[in-house]
This record gives sequence, structure tokens and C-alpha cells, in this order.
Amino acid sequence: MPRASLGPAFPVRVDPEDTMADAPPAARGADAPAGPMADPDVALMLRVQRGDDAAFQELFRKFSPRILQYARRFVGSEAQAEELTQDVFVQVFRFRQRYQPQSRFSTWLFTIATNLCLNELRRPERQLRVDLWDRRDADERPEGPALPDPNARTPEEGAATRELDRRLDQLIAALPAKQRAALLLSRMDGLAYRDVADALGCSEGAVKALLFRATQSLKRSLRDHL
Amino acid sequence: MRCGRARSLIAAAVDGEVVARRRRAFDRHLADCAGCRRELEETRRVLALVADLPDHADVPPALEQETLRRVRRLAAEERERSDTRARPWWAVLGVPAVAIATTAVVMLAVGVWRTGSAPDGIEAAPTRTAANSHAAAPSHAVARRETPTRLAQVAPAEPPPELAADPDLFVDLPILRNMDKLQHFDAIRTTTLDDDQSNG
Repeated sequence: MPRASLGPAFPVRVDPEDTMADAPPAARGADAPAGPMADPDVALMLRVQRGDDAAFQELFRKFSPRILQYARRFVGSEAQAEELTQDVFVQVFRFRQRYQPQSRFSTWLFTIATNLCLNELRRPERQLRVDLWDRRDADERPEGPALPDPNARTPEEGAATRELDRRLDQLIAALPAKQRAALLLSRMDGLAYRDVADALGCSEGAVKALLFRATQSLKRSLRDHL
Repeated sequence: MRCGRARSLIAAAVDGEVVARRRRAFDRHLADCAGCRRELEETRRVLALVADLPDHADVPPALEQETLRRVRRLAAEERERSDTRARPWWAVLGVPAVAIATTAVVMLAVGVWRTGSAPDGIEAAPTRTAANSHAAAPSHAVARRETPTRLAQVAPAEPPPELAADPDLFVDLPILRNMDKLQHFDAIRTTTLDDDQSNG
């Protein structure tokens, strides 16, 4: 999900403690809902809490594609990503009564997904599987060869885009787990640093440091593409 | 602001996560530092590339079916646990278990009643006897108030006075109505022999 904040003008975060703050509010906050209760996903989750099966299925259909992609990038294995996606939604159901609509539903959901992915990476027996998967050629992956880029103007451009995406996926997979998590959470779901910090159980300052190191590493590796 | 500090803020600045006061210092540094401006551009492009990666994957139908199956099973287990908590204890155990438990309790009660009646009979006669002979032998009467079990285990040092006075009672009385006399057989016989010897 491209972020609104990537435009030419820098968004500026307003610090509530900064009495001299005269900058406009953060771009992400400009079109954000008034509060968590205005989030339609929160309303769905509250229905799940009341035992509405259809609401759970709706949440699954809405978020499972993003969770599956997130898990794929996180653990690097298609089969593991599918298992993790299942586990994420089973956990959502199991702990549905603990959910409190104090933040966006997606923040809670990606927090669960991140914890499960980090746990999966900590399992000692999975190291071998990841290595084997990483050594396979992209065309041998379960999802098959990459499809042509629909936005490409020429076949060559499409091939270059796919190659860059593949390279980027590899570089992200090679990042340390927490840097990867911070990068993916802040890019793919557009979570604020505060939410990323909650998901990772660290401070906002730590998130900034993780993202700084992650972007430095990616920049070094992608110098030719920048 | 120095270059090192400015570069550590670049990713956060792209994301709009730098507070206003620090942002002004950052902007002032950028205005004077071509190297940091280049870093900023590269960071912006890298983060844009990552953000442009596909963030959705095609979910296989089997994945949805399997997830919903697991969730329904979990819901059924929760309902079962909830029902278990809501039912009274005898309904949780089931009719056969309650019937077995009731039978066991009745049998136990009958057993206790039958077991308890025999010692009562044993105790009753000597107690009445002891009460009658309380004035003559108070210390012995106190000893006879012991529980039947204790009486069965501890043989008295000497027979009750009425038996010692008339040992023929022991010979003539039916056994079932004179269990305590049987228990004191040795003492009675010894007393009788002694008495016979002293009389002789």
C-alpha cells in the first residue's frame, strides 16, 4: 500500500509536547477516521465478539490476502505462510473477547501476525527449510513464475520490474527479523511508528532505529537501481 | 544538526514521523548539505519501492475452508465448555454416575449402621452394668465407658466385679448376648481359680 506521505512535501509529525509546533498535522492523520470506533473493521470485530460467524468470514476475506503476503515475506516459505495465516485468524477468534477497540483492527491483527511470524523464525528446526526454499529459483516457487507486470509499457520494462521486485524480496528476506518486521509493517499496512512499536513491543525510537538500519542496508544493495 | 544525526532521521522524515521542532533543524541541515539531500532522495526511493511491492496474495480456497473449519471446531469446543459450566454437577456427571454414587452412599450408610449396632450392643450391656455397680467399683466403671473398639483391643487387667463374684454366669449365658464376658474369659478363669484356691 503506497503511503500518502511519500509525496514531494514532507509530512511533519506534531509532537503534543512541542509547544512551538506550527506545522500541519501528519499526512497520515489527515484522512484517518475520527477514532477506532469509526473503523468499519472494528465494527466487524465487535460483531465477531457477539458470535457473528459471517462477520468473521468477512474479516478473513478482507485481511487474509494481506496477512498471507506479509507472512510470505516474513518467513519466506509459502507453506509456512499459509499455516501462519490460518494460525493468525484462529488466534483472532480464540482471543476475540480480549480485543478492545482502542486502535485500528489491522494494528491488532498485524501484531498477532508479527508475533506468530517471529515465533516461527525462532523455531530451530525451520532454519533448514528456509535455506532450502531460498536456494530455489523463483520459477520453482509454489506460486509459479511471476506474471507480467500489467503497468509495464514494454516487455523489457516488465521484466526489469519483476527482477527488481524479486531482488527486493530477497533483500528484505535477508534483513534481521525485527528490521524486516518494522519495514513491512510501516510500508505494507501503513502503520504509524507508534503502532509498529506496539506490535514489536519496543519504543518508537527503536522503530526509527530499525528502519534507519533497514533502509541503509537496502540502499547499499540497490545502489544500481536508485 | 550534524550529518550523522540528520541521516538517522531521514527514514522517519520521509514517513512524517519527526516532531516539528526537530524537523526544522533537520530541514536547515538539508538546505546546506548536498550529501544528506542525496541520502534523503535515495531513502525515499527505496521506501517507495518497498511500498510498491504487491501487498496482497491470492488466498487459496482451501486455506479459507481449513481456517473456517478450525474456527468452527474451536467455537464448538467453547460452547461445550460453556454448557459444562452452566449445567448442575449431577447433570455434568450423567445419570449412570449419579446412580452409582447414590448406590454407593446407601451401601456405605447401611454398612456403617450395621457395623455400628454391634459395638453399641456390646457397650450397652456393660455400661448399664457398670452404672449399676458404680458405687461398688467406680474406677472400673469409668474404664468400661471406653469405646467398643478400644475394649476389643485392650483386655482389662481384671474381670468386672459381678463376673468375678459369680463366674457361672459366663458359662450359662448365650455367647451372642455376652461378648464382653467372652473377651474376659482368661481374667474370669484366673479370678475363679484364685478364689477357689483361697477358699480351699
